[in-house]
Amino acid sequence: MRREITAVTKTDFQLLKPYLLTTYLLWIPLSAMVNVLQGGLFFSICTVSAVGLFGSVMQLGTADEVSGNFQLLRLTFPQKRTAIQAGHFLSIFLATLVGYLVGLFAALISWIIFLLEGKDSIPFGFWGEIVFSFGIFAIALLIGALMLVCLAQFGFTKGFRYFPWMVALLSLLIVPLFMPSGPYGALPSQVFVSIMNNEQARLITSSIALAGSCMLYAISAFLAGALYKKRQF
Amino acid sequence: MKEAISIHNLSKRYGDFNLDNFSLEVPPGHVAGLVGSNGAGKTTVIKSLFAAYKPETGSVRVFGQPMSFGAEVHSSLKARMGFVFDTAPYGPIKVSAVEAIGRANYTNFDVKRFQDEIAAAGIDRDAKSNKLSRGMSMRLQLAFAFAHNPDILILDEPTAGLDPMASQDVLEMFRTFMDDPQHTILISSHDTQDLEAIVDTVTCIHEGKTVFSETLDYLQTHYGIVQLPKKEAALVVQQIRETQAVQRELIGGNRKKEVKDTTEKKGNSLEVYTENHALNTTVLVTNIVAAERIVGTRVTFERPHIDQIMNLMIRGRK
Repeated sequence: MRREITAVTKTDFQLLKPYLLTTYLLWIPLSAMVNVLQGGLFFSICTVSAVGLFGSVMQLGTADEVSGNFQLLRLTFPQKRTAIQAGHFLSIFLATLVGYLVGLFAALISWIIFLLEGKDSIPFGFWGEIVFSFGIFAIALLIGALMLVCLAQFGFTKGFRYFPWMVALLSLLIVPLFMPSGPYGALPSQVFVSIMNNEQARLITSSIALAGSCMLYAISAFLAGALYKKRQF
Repeated sequence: MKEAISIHNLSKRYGDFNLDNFSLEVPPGHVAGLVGSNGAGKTTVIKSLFAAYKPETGSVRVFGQPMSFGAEVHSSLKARMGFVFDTAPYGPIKVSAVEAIGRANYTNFDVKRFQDEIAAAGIDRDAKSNKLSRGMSMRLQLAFAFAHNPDILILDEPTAGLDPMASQDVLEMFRTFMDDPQHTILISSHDTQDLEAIVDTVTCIHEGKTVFSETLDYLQTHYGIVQLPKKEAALVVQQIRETQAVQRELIGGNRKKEVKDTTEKKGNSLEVYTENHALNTTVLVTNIVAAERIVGTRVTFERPHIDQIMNLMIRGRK
């Protein structure tokens, strides 16, 4: 059983390598850089994590559906049904975990680069960080949940493969929209600003962001697993 | 002896399409051909052999064991089967990655055999599989299938779109595979001339229903294309119908259209089907020509191809 699960996961990564690499090496780092420039490290970690998570899951699913008969190929392999399901779930788990880690890493590197360049700034303040970070999270989660339900019902189509790009684009569009006179412009009280400047507060914020990302990750992996189960077996 | 493939009353509905009580038996050592127009149900039959869906009714057995949707016994059976699809299902991955997939999934995957096969086909290991020519792509799939030494090959349109030389190469590989008397092939194809070169039996499906399922020899002796003048053709058709009416009464058959007169459409060409008749087409028509004293008339006989028989039978059903 263990060998069969490993075989399924290896097959997934071999088949989907080109698609995942594009996400890991191009879209996630690109999103990280832009987001760090616009929103700073915390913001970037949140949005990029969302892009990394959903991007990876979506790439797995859409590539599977539209790029060749991957599903057919898998069904011809000599694995038990339960092993195929478990193997897929493991693939999704690993792919999204890597996406998440790549997102964090890319955001951190980008932030360090900008910091070294002396360009780091946190334009939103603490309240802005919270609003935007979790606003983006919420939007990504909402879109993701809707998408997954739609996908479970209707299957993947070519349009869905652009989903991670959509999330990235969305984050790029929303941030500038609020920049000139965003809610933080009037809102952030001195209390929040002082919290923002507080080490501990930063730690709490990032912890919440990470926890949110993890939750998102678990939900997306769970939904994607259910999706695969429904559509393929 | 257990049949290599045994499909019994298989039914599957997809929207408007309905595969209707399809049955097929393929003994070991045989090559079975599956023909039919697009959307006839060939791929639905092929997919049933790796339990890709849950049928409405019916059963599929491979070497006597059930290949049923959701059952856990598939894995050992699937290890004995090699599948080749009309397009390579590997996507934009390298040929070396295809090899890695084979190693991961089959314990008996013969890497050397795989590498020898792709080298013989002139395929570069670093090439992307979706960039290969159609012929090479098919050879890659065959190399993958042969490398785990299957007992059954399931082929879905393997020669579609191949040039004649590539097509011959592929057919030669099938013949070599069939040198082992325990090996079996089920092949679906539009290219009926290629099929004729290798199959023992032919099953024709149309709109989900079986039109005929016979040995190639039977089909080619019980169908015939006779060239004779229109006037005499009408007479011969009449005679054949009368003969067959007697035959039907004798065997209690209930077929309504054993003979299709196509003299109107094909000039002097007469297509004849003589199922249930003791005589083959050539003997039957020769006897009629002699009995009716159609002398001084040039009568020629042609051995029909599967596609001609298929067209005749499908038109005859309408």
